[in-house]
Amino acid sequence: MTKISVSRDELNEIVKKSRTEAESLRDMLSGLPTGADGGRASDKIPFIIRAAVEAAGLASDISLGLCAIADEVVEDQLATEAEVVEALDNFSHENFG
Amino acid sequence: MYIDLNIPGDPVALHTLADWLSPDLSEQTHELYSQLRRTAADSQMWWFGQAGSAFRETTNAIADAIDPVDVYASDAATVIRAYANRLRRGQDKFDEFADKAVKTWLIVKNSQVQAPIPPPTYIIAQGQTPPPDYGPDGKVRPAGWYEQALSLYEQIAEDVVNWWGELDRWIDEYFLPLMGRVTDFEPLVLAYEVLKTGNELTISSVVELKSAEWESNLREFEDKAKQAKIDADTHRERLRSGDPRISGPASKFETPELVEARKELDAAVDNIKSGTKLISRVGLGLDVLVAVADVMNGGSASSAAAGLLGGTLGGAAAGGLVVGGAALVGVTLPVAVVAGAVVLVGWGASELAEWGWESAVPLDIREAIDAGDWGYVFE
Repeated sequence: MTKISVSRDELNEIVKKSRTEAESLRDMLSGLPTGADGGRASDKIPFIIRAAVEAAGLASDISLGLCAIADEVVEDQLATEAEVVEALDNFSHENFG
Repeated sequence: MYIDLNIPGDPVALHTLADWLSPDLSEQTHELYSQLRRTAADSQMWWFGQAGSAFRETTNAIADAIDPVDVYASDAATVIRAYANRLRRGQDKFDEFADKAVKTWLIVKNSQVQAPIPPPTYIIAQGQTPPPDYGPDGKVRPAGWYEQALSLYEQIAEDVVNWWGELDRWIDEYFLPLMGRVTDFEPLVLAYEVLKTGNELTISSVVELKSAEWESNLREFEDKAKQAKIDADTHRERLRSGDPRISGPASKFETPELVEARKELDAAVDNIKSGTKLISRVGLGLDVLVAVADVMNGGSASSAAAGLLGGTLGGAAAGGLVVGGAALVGVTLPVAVVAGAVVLVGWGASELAEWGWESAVPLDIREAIDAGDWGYVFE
């Protein structure tokens, strides 16, 4: 069981910045204006707005999810190479991208 | 008979919505994208080995998946601004029609121009003058007023038909491609499914319930939009029933096929209830995407493309997709690619020919220049 080679304090600092941006994005979604009469395009505009809002919400969620996994590294819950790779290997080039 | 000069829609509220999309939402999304890239790069100094590499690959893949979101928000904002400006210019133009109508002895009530009624004719004995012809304002109308009023009424009818026909065409041209681009987010949906695989507990602890805060706002937005659509449809009926000059399809703008395709698109969009998830529900999006493609093709049903789409869907459903060792049934990147191609069928060569000018100057500014709306250009 090879222990991972990481500076946890530094990792905590850089992950915190991504978490702050992801939380700011989530907070911003709550500021969606609650009404805008689009006249004849009143069915198409909400479709587009929902697509943008859901996508931004998902961007925030996935980033917060990544930060939560990194937190487990910082807190030593994921302590070995095998554990971290198991949590994150779905994104290796062979499978994604 | 009458011509309705009302134009439903709130340009000021649409501008507020556009400003929220961009710069607010688009810049914050871009900031998150950039920070993820920095996080991946910075981690090289603090995290080594196979685990560090996996973290960087994951972070960069997530950043890539997020990348289209700010571009979409920004493009949507530009189109909504241009649309708002178009409505405002239309409302100003129709106000001018109303003013001119009043000055030409036409009756205008609640922004509806009444068709002129010919003055009564009299059999006059020799040597007598006909009685004065009083208008509804109590003033005497000059001889020949009716012919002038009728001529203006017919001109307004033609201009109103043209304006609405052009607006419908504009909506098809600019809003429909944005609807088609809902597939831009398939990689993001896929990335989220991939990250969740094996990490369900960790992720659900930070994201569950959080989306409820903005979901309720979005549902309220959608509920109000549903009412606005009902109002707009009522207005369309009133416009068409007001005068036979406006009641028939404007043939230079609409073919029967296009009218039918638009109806099918309306029905597909109407099927989406407030609060329904959109980007993660491929089946739901595809109905709309096929209808979008048909309208963009002028109503010539893209049956070959629809058939291709159906075939791909069947294959995806039968086999599922295996990504990262997890079978992701319902997450279908190839479908998104094909659906994107279906939508692209509708893109005409003229759009591509104008690419240089269009890519350099935002749509709302280009249209303001075309309309001589210098106040908007230089504000």
